Amino acid sequence: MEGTIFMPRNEDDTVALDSSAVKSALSYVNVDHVSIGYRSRKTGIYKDAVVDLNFEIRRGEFVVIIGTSGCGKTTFLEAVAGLVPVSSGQIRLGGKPINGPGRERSLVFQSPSLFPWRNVRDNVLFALQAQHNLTPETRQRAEDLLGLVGLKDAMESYPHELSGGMKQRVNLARALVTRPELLLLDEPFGALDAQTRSTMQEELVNVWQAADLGEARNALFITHDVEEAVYLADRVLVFSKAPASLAADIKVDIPRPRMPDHKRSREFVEYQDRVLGELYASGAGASGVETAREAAE
Amino acid sequence: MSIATAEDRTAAGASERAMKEPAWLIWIRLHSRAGYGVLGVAVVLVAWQVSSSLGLVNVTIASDPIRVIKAEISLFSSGHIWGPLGVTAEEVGWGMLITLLISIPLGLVLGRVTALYDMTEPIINVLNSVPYVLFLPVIIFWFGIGQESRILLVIWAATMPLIINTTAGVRNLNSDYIRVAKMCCAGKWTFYRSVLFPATLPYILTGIRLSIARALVGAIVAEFFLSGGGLGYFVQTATSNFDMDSAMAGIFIMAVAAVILTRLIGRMEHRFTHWSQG
Repeated sequence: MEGTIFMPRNEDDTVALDSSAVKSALSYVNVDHVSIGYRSRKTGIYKDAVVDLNFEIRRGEFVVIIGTSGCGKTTFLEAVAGLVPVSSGQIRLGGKPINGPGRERSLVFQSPSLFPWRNVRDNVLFALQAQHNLTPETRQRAEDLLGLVGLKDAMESYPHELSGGMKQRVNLARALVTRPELLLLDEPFGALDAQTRSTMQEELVNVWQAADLGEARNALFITHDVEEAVYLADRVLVFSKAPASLAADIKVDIPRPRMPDHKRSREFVEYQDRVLGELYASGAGASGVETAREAAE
Repeated sequence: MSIATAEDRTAAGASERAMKEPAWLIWIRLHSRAGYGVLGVAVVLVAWQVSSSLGLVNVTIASDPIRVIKAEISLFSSGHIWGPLGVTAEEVGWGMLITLLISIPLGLVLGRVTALYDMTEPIINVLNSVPYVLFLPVIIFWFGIGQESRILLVIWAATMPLIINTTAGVRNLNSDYIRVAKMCCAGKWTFYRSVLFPATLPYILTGIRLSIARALVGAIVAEFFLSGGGLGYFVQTATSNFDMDSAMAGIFIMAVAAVILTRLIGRMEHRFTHWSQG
């Protein structure tokens, strides 16, 4: 985390900063000509994960990034999280370049990654403890959040006693308890069965729409599931196959609050077809895509 | 108990038969493994007693269980055993305390800092492979024949397994835990105390178990050479005086102490790392 992150400066850096300052009232995340690459640990070969990404996210938007498995979307999310340095370009958050994780961001991990030696409540409290923010109010908030995700009776349970869906609920509560401005979600429901997945999507939407969340309420959600993308998103960004670039930027104008039966509406299905069409058009439908992420692992 | 209710009778025949078993039979089956252990010990003791009673072995050389029990009673009633027992306990106690304070932090740091690990790994492996008793003459030459030297040998014997185990635990740390700590902006101290240490605890406790076994050996060997008291010295002296009953009694006390210590660590493992077996 403390590792030096090498970010080559753009020649027109100052210009970019000025223009972003003008737009800062609306834009929250600025992605400026961002490329990210991996050097494979086995072969030492450098591979691009994403190339020349260029977009911005406005305040309050729920943005879903969709792409095939291993297209580089998770790598991009990790760069926004500050876990992975960008190779070139710059990601700015509220005008400031990202170099490392920050308290205004939380990540809901793909695998629940709970500490097995802590019970559910203490796992959520860890986020507060790490930020030296354990007060009666924040403790109460942790319990409220656990209630909100339906774990009121499981607060004393240990992770090995929980189902996959319950673990991901704890994972979500841990991310939300610090009141992040930007919530990052890395295929959080990918490993769940279809029914649990659908319930969890609904719960996420509920939590999202609940009043007392973070101030800015920005979310960046990664998935390879088209239905999930359209259901959750204000905006769907379609990533091409690896190395990923931005293939399409689709605004989803379905009013909130959204209910599960919206998924069967004509409007919803049309959006799904559009996203799917863009995925295929970008070549993401091609089989045998060898990914930078897989190579790096 | 063996009283079957109406509901139980609907179960399969096998479980129905199991329900009818008397309680004592069920108890024996549940404890059969421990029971066999007790039986094994009993066979050895009886064989020992019989062979010395029948004069198959010379009782002044081999002693026998009844004489050992008598010696045990006289050692405790006269209080002669408390001195040696206290000396050994003190050596092992101080030795283990210092071992814990050195090895656990050192193991945690070595596991995290790759450069340090690569630098020290060959040395630690060599030091761990060389029989630690071999260092005793050198320790005596450097530190004399006092209690410090005995404690030092205990530390020398006990540190290596604990360092190696702790380091291995840290190096096996789930990388997801590191990512969680990073995302939560945990500081170094929080990370070491609330993530690294608890995650490594199963390895640390295994290391402590190995360490205690070696610490006991270190203490006894040191007492053989540095005759300043202790159980090792006690057994040695008793044997030289042809008092085999006391010698055997001393060995028996050592065995009981070792079992108690091992059980204690087992309890701690159960208490603190229940999550890792789940």
